[in-house]
Amino acid sequence: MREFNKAIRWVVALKCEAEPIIQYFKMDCYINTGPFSVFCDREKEHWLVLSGIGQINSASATTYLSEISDAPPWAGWINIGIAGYGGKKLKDLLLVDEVQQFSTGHTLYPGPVIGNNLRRYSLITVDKPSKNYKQGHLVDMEGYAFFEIASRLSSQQLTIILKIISDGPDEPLELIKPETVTESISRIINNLKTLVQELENICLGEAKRLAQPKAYKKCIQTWHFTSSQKTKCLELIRKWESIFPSKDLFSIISMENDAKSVLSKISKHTQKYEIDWINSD
Amino acid sequence: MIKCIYIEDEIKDHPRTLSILDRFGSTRRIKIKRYGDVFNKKSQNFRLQKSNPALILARKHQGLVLDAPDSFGIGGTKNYYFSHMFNCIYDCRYCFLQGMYSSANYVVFVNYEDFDKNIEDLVNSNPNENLTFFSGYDCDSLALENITGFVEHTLPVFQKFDNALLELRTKSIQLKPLLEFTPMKNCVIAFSLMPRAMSDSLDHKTPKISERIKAISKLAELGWKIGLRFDPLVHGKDWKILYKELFDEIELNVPETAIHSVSVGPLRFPKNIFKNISKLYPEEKLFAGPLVNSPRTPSYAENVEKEMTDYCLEHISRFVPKSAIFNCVSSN
Repeated sequence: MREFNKAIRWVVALKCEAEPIIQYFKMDCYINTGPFSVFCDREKEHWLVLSGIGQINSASATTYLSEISDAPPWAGWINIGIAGYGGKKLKDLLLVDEVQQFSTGHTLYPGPVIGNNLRRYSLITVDKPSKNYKQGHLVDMEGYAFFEIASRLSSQQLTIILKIISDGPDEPLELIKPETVTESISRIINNLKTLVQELENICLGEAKRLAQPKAYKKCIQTWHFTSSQKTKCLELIRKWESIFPSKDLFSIISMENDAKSVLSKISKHTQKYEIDWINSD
Repeated sequence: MIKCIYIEDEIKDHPRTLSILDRFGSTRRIKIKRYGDVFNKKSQNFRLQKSNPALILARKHQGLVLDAPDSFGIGGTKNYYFSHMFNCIYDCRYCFLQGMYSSANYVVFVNYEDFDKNIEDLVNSNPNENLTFFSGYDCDSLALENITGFVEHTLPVFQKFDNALLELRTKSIQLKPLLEFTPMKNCVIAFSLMPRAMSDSLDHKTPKISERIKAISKLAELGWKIGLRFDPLVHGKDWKILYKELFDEIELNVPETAIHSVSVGPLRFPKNIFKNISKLYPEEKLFAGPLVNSPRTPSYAENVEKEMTDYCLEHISRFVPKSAIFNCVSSN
């Protein structure tokens, strides 16, 4: 049996955007002496980095958080923040499924597997604050860079960009107060909680798929395996676990003297196995 | 349920694009330059995407009709395949598509007329050959018919040819387009089948084997030519009993005269594809079966493969003439 922790990583530009999230998920400051301030909860499941404004900051902070929090490849990554919008100002949480880097015209297509009830929007990431709001598009200063990096650390499907409209043609950015931003995020915190739970569950499923089996770790601690034996061992243990999901591998290998005989023993048990399709679950 | 449709700029006004979009009302639409910008990105998670795939409408520029692999063949002298679509609404654990593509999104190439032109050119330039065109190599030929209208479009194309056979490979019981056409002597509706117990475990989101056999029976009754495809053959406890039960059920429900061809193929994966699939589904029992790592293709041991093939061929030959039975074994 394997157990995994939830793994959610937040990249947020401004303290006023992050405040409600830090409070809700009961995070404390983990480090504030490095290039970015990092927060995490007691269980070290939720980690948040304050990236500051702009694409370079966002990309660097994402990488920094990945390293400092030892983010696994099944981590869910979330960028949440305010955005401009060239249309009617909505107060809802919005999900981004197309993000274009304004300076290059390059476009990425997040394919989020959560948030089916949220409205989906295109986002343009600009380098400088802009008043040229494009009808029907959100505008921010981090989304593209965040997605480009985080989706490589995890996967596109586990990398989520969420926006809340703050400014637009009738409400310029310079008039937006930090407290208003905090209020906007606080207002959608329940929606966010539901969404995060959905993401956590998917990430746990991915953890089960991607993580090394505990029995493998125990094997390589107990006996000395060469590099090619390690590969073989992992392959055989995965096979063992798919055939005998609730049977303790060590009950059959604990008496073996060396890696070679361990591999031979597992092979012997898995090779003679015939799949019972009628009674399989 | 499709939540998002990506549309290549180049075909945004194509009549087939517009007709497909009509079926989706207010579904989110995103314009793209080339389908590869979405489909080929490396950091996608096929397994997660499979739970919620998007639809991509695109134009196929090259490789519209390709030579079929050597092992393909149901009696024709030259074999080709073509794919109006990449990926499938079903989720079969042995399917090579899940290890071949990085995306589970459905790509539909809307320029069917370009496929037609290529097929017509091949038929015209091979007047003395019997050509077979396989559809359903990179997708299921019928499963998404209510959206693509592919079969409805393609059958009339083949009505013109005397020396070209079309195979529609499917697990679908969505028969509507076939019910609306007069059965064609140069079209085979080929159903993929395996014993019920194996299918229940490996064929996800597909019609059950009994439903497929009912559909076959109905098409046979109407006069359509039927193909039976036992590919892959899957090993397991009591496999002989399971396969015999399947063959008996088919013999009972499908008249011999309706059977155009039967093909049998062992379970084999190209090595890289196997690596990808087994990483996607490490808990899958199928991959824990008695597979051996031959140099290029993980497969059952030669003696297991031979025993299974011989057994199945022998039983099938009791109700299908040997001349209609084909053993699809690719060289290792």
